[in-house]
Amino acid sequence: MFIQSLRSYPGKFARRQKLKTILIVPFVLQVCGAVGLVGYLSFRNGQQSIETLARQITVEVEDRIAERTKTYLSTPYTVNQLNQQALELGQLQVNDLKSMERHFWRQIQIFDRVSYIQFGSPQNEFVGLAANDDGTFTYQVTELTGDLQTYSILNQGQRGKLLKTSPNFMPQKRPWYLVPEKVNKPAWTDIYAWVNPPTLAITLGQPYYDQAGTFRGILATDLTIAQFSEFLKTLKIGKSGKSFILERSGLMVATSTSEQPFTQSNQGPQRLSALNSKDVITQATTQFLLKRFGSLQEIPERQQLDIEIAGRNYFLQVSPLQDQHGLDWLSVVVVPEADFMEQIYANTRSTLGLSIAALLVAILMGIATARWIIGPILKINQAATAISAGDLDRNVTLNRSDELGELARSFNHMVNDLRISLEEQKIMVDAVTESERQLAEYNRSLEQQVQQRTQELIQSEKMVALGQLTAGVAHEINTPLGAIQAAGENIASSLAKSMQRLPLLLQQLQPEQAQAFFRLLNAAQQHQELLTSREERQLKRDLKKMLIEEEIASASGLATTLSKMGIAPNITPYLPILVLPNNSDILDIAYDLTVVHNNTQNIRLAVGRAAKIVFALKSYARQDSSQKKVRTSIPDTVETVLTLYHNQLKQGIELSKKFDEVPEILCYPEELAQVWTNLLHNAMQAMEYKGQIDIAIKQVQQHIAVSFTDSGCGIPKEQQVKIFDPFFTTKPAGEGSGLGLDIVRKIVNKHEGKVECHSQSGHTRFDVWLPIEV
Amino acid sequence: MANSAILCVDDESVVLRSLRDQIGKHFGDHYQCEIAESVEEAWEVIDELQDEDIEILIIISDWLMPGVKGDEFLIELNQKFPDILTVLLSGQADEFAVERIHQNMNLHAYVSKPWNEEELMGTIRAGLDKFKE
Repeated sequence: MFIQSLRSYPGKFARRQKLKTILIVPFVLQVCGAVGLVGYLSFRNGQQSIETLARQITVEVEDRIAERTKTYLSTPYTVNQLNQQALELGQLQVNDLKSMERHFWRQIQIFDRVSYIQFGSPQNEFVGLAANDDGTFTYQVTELTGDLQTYSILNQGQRGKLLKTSPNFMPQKRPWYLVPEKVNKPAWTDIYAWVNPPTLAITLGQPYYDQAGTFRGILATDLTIAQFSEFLKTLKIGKSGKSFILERSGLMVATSTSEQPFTQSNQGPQRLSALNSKDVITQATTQFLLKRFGSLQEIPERQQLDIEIAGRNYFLQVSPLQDQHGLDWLSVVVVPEADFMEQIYANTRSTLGLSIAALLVAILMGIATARWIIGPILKINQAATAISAGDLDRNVTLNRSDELGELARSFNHMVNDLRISLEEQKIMVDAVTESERQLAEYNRSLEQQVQQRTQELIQSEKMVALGQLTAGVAHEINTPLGAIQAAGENIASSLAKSMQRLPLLLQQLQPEQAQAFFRLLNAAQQHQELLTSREERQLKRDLKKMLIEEEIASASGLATTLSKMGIAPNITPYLPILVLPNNSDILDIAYDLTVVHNNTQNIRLAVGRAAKIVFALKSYARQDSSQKKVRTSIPDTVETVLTLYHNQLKQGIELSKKFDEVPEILCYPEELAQVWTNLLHNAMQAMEYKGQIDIAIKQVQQHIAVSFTDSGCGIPKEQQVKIFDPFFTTKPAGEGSGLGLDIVRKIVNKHEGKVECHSQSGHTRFDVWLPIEV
Repeated sequence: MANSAILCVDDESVVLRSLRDQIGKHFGDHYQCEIAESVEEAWEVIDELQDEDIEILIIISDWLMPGVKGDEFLIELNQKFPDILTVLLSGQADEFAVERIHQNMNLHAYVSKPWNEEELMGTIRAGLDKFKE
């Protein structure tokens, strides 16, 4: 995770930055890196070579110091050696010190660096030549006086006048005598301060033995050390390098600084410790060496060191300066690193300057490049932004033939295409909007049409049902009409017949027979209920049997007539006329009279039936325009429908009605009639006009529940949810509108009731609940 | 009493009785008139009359009846008793149905309800005359 985020960091960074930054930054970074690296490497190389160079220079300087020192220091030895040889050769005699005067004078002409040449004997005899500070020479001799007498020197080296006498001069007490005497070989004295002129000096003394090997005295030559400093000052070490010479004790011998290597006091010059030097570099260097080596005695050989003084780096070289006569000094060379590094620093500065210049150039070039690249992109971007804001008339003008020019051209091309396609789209959108508007309008009008059409369909559904009924209704009406017509004709003919025959018969009949006749007529007229043909046949059989038992002739014919009159199977009351020979005629007359009655009754029945049918039709077909609820008996509305369907129902359907007493309710009776019609029609179709239909009406709490149950095939489960949908039909096309149950539900809903269906094969029930108090 | 009969079949007793009265009036002296309120009963009557050796000459049947329809009854009757004349009496003026019956059986006559007495009786008489020949 962490690594991944690290890895993706540059990508993220790049994504966040502007293109300009991305184009410039890597450029600048590269330049920085390259310049920096090159600069650093060249600086390092320069530094290394400078250091090497500095070391070489210091070594060189050191060598020169050592060489010069050696040269300087070898002079006193040479002088001493020459004087010893002169003594050994007998050119000089120890007993004749005066002879040494001119010798020394000649020597000092040659060896101008020495400041004093002398000889001291154990007999306290002394002769010496001093090179004075003013360039003159003086002789100093004791001449057995015990005092030191100073004489001036003439041109040819002859003793001049006596200049001064210093009493009680004891050469044997002097260091230059004591040190070599003690070690019995040439040896250096310690450095000592010279009073006038104030300077430091050192003396090399050498014991002289004669040929007999007897110690005859000390030959000694002085050397002023001031010339060391003079020499050191002439050395150019870098720009401001310093050199100085120390004794191992830390006392200054010589220095290239402006400082004197000694101090002045009332007692004359005093030795100066380097630690007390006024010169910062001298002092710090000595401190550093002491700190570094513990003691100056411990520096065995040349050392090359680095030292930091007052925040500046210095190359430091220290080397022992020694000779065979016990001299043991240290020469120190200190060079500021800056002296050598100056050029390097200058180089570094110019490198830095160049780097910055290169950087600036890189940035400028980067900006220029970025502008060159980004400019067109920005242009395109601006154009794209403008386009996305809707300004499609934007074009990018770019007079370039490179990729960006290509891009701009492609972009313009694209914009053009976009503009065209947007225009097309706009046209299409307009067209679509227009179409949608039209569609909405169509929808609206379609809805209206559908509504209208639905209303029409409901009515036409009603008319279809009515049409289906027509055949039956025609039959239903024609049947009673036929009966009425027949009855009328029957009455007419029977009346005519009986009127013709009755008076004659009445005249013929005995009172008892007449009574029986009228009794028969009465019985026939009182008989109200029509017998079924089957009952009548049975009656006929019974009567025939009785008549035969009474041994009455033409029993069969009589039985037929009597049965037609509906006479109960008790013939006793009518026996007076039955036994008569013309019984058949009498019964015919009686029958004719009965026919009038019967047919009148028939007519009444038939008229009632026809009227009922007409009423039912009228209530069924009427369009309810008032849209007002009417207080109606629900069973009556059901009966109306049953009347219309009577003819169809009777042909194979067993109808069972179970109508409870229910209150009348406010409803639309015609519409309810249509509900019952549709339910009944569906039931009959479902069982193909054969089977059982149960219709029940009862009160269930505040509802009237009407149920139609049929023994038909039932409705498949998956169709039960759809049967109330409009236009759902299982009938072949053209036979049903599919609106039947939809209409049922609509009408029931209008009554704020509900309709439900429960169906399984052989038992389908539709329940309609109508609220009583609405 | 006559040994031949005319049978009327109709589910409406009113119709049946009117018919019987008319037939009795016109042909009662020579022919017995029997009535049946359903096809089922008609077959019973036919059986009974056969038992009594009474020959059925004409059967007048309604068209629409519960159970078996009139035309079906007549067609079956025609197959069993080809000699019996058949008259279809119906209130339903469906000419196509009549045509179909004509094609499928030997129908003596079709009379529509409400019927004219003279017409119906004439038709019966014409049928009875066929037997006399």
